[in-house]
Amino acid sequence: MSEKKYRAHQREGPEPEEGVREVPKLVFVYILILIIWGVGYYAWQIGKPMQGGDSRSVAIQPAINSENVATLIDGGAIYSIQCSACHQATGQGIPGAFPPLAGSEWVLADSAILVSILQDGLQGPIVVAGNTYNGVMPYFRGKLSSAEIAAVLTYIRSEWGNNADRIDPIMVDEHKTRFGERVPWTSDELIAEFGKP
Amino acid sequence: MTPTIALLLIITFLLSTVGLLVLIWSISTNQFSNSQNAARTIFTPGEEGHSEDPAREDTSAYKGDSKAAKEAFTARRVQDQSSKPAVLIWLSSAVFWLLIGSFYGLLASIKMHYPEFMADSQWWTFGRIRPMHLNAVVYGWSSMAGIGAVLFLVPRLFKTPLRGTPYAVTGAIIWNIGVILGLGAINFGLSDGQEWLEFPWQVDFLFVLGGALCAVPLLLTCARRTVEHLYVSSWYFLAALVWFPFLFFIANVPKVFPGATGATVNWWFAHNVLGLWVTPLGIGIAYYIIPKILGRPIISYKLSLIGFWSLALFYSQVGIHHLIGGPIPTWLVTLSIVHSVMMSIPVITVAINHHGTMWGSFGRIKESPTLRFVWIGALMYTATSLQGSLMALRSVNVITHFTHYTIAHAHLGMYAFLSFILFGAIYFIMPRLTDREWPWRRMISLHFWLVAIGILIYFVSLTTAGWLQGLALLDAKTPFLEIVQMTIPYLQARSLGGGLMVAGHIVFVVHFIFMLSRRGAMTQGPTLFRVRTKEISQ
Repeated sequence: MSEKKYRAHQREGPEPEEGVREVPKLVFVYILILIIWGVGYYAWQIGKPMQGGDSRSVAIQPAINSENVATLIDGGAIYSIQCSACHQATGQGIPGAFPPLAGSEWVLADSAILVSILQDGLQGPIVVAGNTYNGVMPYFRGKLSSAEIAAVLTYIRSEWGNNADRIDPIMVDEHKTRFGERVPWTSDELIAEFGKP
Repeated sequence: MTPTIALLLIITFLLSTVGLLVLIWSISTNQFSNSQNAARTIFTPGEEGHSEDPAREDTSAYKGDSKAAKEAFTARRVQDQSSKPAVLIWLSSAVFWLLIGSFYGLLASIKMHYPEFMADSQWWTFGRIRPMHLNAVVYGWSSMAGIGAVLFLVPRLFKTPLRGTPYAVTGAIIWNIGVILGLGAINFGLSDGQEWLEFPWQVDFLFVLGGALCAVPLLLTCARRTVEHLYVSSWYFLAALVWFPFLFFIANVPKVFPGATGATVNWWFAHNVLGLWVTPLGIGIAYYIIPKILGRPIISYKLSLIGFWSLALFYSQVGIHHLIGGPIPTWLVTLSIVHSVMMSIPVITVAINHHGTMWGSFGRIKESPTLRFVWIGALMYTATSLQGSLMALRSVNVITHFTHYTIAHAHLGMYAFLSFILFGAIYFIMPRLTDREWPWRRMISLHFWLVAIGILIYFVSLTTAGWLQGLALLDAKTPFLEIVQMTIPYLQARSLGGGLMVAGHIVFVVHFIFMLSRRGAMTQGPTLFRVRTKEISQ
């Protein structure tokens, strides 16, 4: 056969094979250490919550129905579960999408406005701090108790430099008796009902 | 987690690990075999001590100077001819999909820091082109190139011509139709909506069929093998070909796994594509190429046993570490973390075997393109796997999860490890199939430096971005948009790295087309990175 043909084959080395060198002792030491670590790690997990979650998970508040322990409800915790995805942990919202709560005239105005928005929801364009937003704010009627709504509203009215009166669960109950199951508000309706913020 | 669950996990863990060590001991001391000599017929007489690289003066190239050696040379040539049509179609398709896939990857990368870019057309939205990138490079490039290399190596490993080559050719055609339809469906917005499983399940049947057709010649060839002892590469290839159909089928059965179960199966599959499909292909190729080019055996049979069997035992459970902190049982997450860390055993044993064989011959990567790509790939396998074990720990995962850090890690694995090894394999295989040398050594050099610098920029910038992003995300007081803006310079650097990689792919594909169509410079000697005076005078 020609010297020029199949050059790549001709210059090839042997087919690979395995040597017989022993496994280094350190490898076995390493395997042993990992086995001990594995057993220890399993044992260390005893007592951890069964259903996953870790340090990033938001603590879920136990349901508190009794009105007289309303002050014990942590409005901040409810905020981080229910509100912070849109309005952000900083209360700044997201420009063009979700209005800010910090320094918002609607948050600081008559408390009946905030109770209405949270209880029944809000739709359509709304001007907040000079910018127009056009989105949908879901209602929390039936999802949060009166005490919880009062707690989270009190929280947003006192955070991020906001400084307005606390909201009492009784105000939420009064709103319920007055409006019942109402369709979401628009900003014009809010102004007509409660005055301009 | 209750003490009972922990105790059950510990007992299972100890039994399986000790059982594995006993199995490895039995195999390595021939407890299953009647004859102590059965495992020793592994090489052709007279072949040891010769080196692949003819440019080295101090070792004589293998010229077939004895009758047995001449027969081995002829047999090897016949084996390569038998697999040629199948290997060529799988490799050419793979190279095509590499170009398409990396093009979409670059577009997706640009959109991360320039969201207005081509945002007016639904065909180019991020939600469609990003999965197109992933599926094109995984099922188009990596899987097809891997299967092509396996089809080439299997006849050599079993020392018999490939039987049933037309099956593999048909398989490649069907597989390609599957990739085209799958990518088209994603582009039309008809995705299954789970990462790594975006192809609609109706299209998935084509992959099952194409893969099954490809398995026929491999099984036929395996049945006719003329070697008693299976070399370590064959274990990985055969195992991968058994594992992948199961994974792919189970994960793609529609409507069986809802909710959190679906997420669990999703990540079980996605991580196993890496560990039980492309990793065995990549390691198997490296196990063949490194000793082949160096002309010396891989250092330890027993180490390769530990490496292979511990991969088989530990890998299947590691995927759940993608769901750390998620709403799935703690015992399952813990199991996956322990197994992720145990994966450092196969990684370290394979590393000792690969790099130990290279020890003392590192100078050879200056000359041999194949060896440079494959060895760097093997080194990156060690790096990415050890990094992966660390990332599975809860304390690290809480920072790196949901950040760019994960993307950087994925590319270290799929690109710097797997794609580099596949590049090296293609540089090795093509001259043996087409019986001509690569036309231009400078093209290979350019390809190497573009992709190497590209992936370096890519990895460093995204790793940094991801770590900073992860730390910032843990602080609830930092506004989200501020974090997004902080990452933008790093994302621009990623596009630069990605651009270099795409440029490297274009160079590679052009070179590949010239090679395939028998155009370009005709060289006589092997195309190496450095010209030797001896070669020029030839």
